Amino acid sequence: MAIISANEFAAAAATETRREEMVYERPHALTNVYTHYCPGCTHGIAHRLVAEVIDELGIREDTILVASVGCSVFAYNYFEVDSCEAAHGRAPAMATGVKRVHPDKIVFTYQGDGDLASIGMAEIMHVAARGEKITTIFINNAVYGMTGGQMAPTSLLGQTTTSSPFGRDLRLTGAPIHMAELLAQMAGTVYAVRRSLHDARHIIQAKKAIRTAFEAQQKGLGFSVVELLSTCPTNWGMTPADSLDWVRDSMIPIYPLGDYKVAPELAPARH
Amino acid sequence: MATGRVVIDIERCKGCELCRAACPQDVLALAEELNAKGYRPVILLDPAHDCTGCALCATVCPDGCITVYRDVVEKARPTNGRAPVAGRTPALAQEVR
Amino acid sequence: MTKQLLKGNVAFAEAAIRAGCEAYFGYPITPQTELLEHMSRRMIELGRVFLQAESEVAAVNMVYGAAAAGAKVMTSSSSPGISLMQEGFSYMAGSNVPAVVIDVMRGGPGLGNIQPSQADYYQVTKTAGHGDFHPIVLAPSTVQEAIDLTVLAFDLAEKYRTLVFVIADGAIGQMMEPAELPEMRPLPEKRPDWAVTGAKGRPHNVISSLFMGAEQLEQMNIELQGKLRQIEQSGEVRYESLAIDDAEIIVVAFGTAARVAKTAVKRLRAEGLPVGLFRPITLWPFPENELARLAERIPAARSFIVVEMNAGQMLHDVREVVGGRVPVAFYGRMGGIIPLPEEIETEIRRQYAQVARTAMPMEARNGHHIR
Repeated sequence: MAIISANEFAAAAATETRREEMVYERPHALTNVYTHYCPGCTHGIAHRLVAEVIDELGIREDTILVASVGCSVFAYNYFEVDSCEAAHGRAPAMATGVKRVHPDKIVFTYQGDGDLASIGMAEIMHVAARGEKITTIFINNAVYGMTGGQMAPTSLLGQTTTSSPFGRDLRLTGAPIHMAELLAQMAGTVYAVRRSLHDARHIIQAKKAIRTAFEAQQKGLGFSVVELLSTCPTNWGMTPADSLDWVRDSMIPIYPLGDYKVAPELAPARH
Repeated sequence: MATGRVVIDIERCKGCELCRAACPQDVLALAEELNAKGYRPVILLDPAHDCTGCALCATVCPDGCITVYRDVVEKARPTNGRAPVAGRTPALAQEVR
Repeated sequence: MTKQLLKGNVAFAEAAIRAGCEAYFGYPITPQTELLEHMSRRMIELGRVFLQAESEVAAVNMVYGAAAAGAKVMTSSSSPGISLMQEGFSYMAGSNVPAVVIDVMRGGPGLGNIQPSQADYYQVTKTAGHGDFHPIVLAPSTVQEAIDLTVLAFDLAEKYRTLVFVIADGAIGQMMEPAELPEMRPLPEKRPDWAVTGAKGRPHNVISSLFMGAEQLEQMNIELQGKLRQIEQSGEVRYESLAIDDAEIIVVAFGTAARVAKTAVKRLRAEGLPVGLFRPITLWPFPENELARLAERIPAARSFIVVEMNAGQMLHDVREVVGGRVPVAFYGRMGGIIPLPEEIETEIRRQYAQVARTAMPMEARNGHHIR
């Protein structure tokens, strides 16, 4: 073991400059408001990713959010962008009105599964059919969060909720709806993918997808949607960490992650 | 090994511990005291300076509570003092890839 | 400008365009579809926004979005479609955004039929959506008035940041009359400060009808009611009266019913019967002070007869104002039937004969005749 004298150490240190660089900070497109989300709810992650993308694309002052009804009803308080709050399920229609008046702005909806896949099914399918140049961030956590854990159109078969106490029964309430796949079928959709928020690697992939979806809108290509598998620890009755495992082990087998439609104009830049 | 540190906005933190599960260096802990909202927030407990500034904690944090710094050691070069590439996302993406 | 022969529905549409309507969203429904069809051609030709939505529900929420974005926006529909749009009306009222709605009413309830009706007076003036609010409601009785009131609707919507309805029925929507259109107005150059336009160099704007705190929501409602009181007191009340000054019988009617009643009143006047007509043009705010004055100040006024194409809806607004002072009778047709002048004349004669017998108690004289 070499013994370094105090003088030698000091001499070596003198040739180095120690400083810090910031490698992550809270995105500027988020307000400083404390969110109402439960601890560990991945809505917060989805919000953060969208805000990071808005920051990176430098579009904060040109972006308009159309919030929906559900747990994310207060999203307009959390994003530092001009916002409106739509009626339940109607965010795509409201976003259509905004976008048609402001074709040069970036307009996005942020909707949960009850809002988008149940009461708002007509509106979301028709923005896709029209190729409305908006972006939809679709949070699928297989449950109605805001009203207290009722069955969603995306609830899994057998899943116990406060309105399917014996488990979701195929014969009574049908099967889960696969929105990314459905929306990919519509001619006006240019980007439809499903990602998950259950660990860091998937979160980074989700962010890339959100960025691509916004870029699709910037390029004026058509309708873009990112479905994000998300957690609801409170209504699932699990810890936040166990909820992430449930996404991985129970949701992803039913809702496979993947790219269901990527317009050719978007594909080359992504790999 | 890179070194770094994190700064946690403890009033914003809800103590969900997703960051603790994601941390490869096990340098995050729950505080004994409650914050104003009544949560036990996460704090950096890193006496040995094991934090690498990898930002995995910030990547999974639902509440955007965590700011991450990484130490940069620059050997003194008399002729060329090129600054390291700044910007939060490239560094983050590189680290967790 | 010169007069041209115009269909009511087309007149509504072209008047809206000339008033500066920048965006139209709608869904086909009889008897107003020509309005949407006219918009589909003209708005596109002018480079403005036209979109046929997938439903009235979507259409009204597109209107909500365009209004939030600061555009002068309009939709049109007919009774069942208006029912579907009520969700959006309520949200717009709750977030103080302006829009114009043309409602060409048809017979109900349910799918009803496509004939002219006034059965949605309550729906539009009282219950345009959940929560405490009234839209301004304008009721034309001619094609010319359909034009003039549509232009006025855009002005009032903008002035008060409110919903303005122009309600007609299938008769006015479908009839053709000579009418004069206004000059084309230039479109606004800038958006209102409150609109969502991108938060450039300012804090972000929010258009929302959600106020979770009870105190917060009460305050919002106090302000909304304050605005409605302001509208009531700002000279926005409009009405027409005919042969009122010495009338012993005053017919109260709006829209198409008033048009027919006017013929009946003119005929009876020619016979020397002391009858007049009062026609509310603003159904909200309702010309209650003016009606009350009629009951108080015209010594001769002995009876009112409300004529509507429904089971008696505006009737209750009239009774609330003059009831107790003067008997208020009612004559109405339903199901999409427009009363004939002769039917109204008969009713006026009957009422005139009754009030001549002054000893009869008030209740007995509050006749209610629907066929």
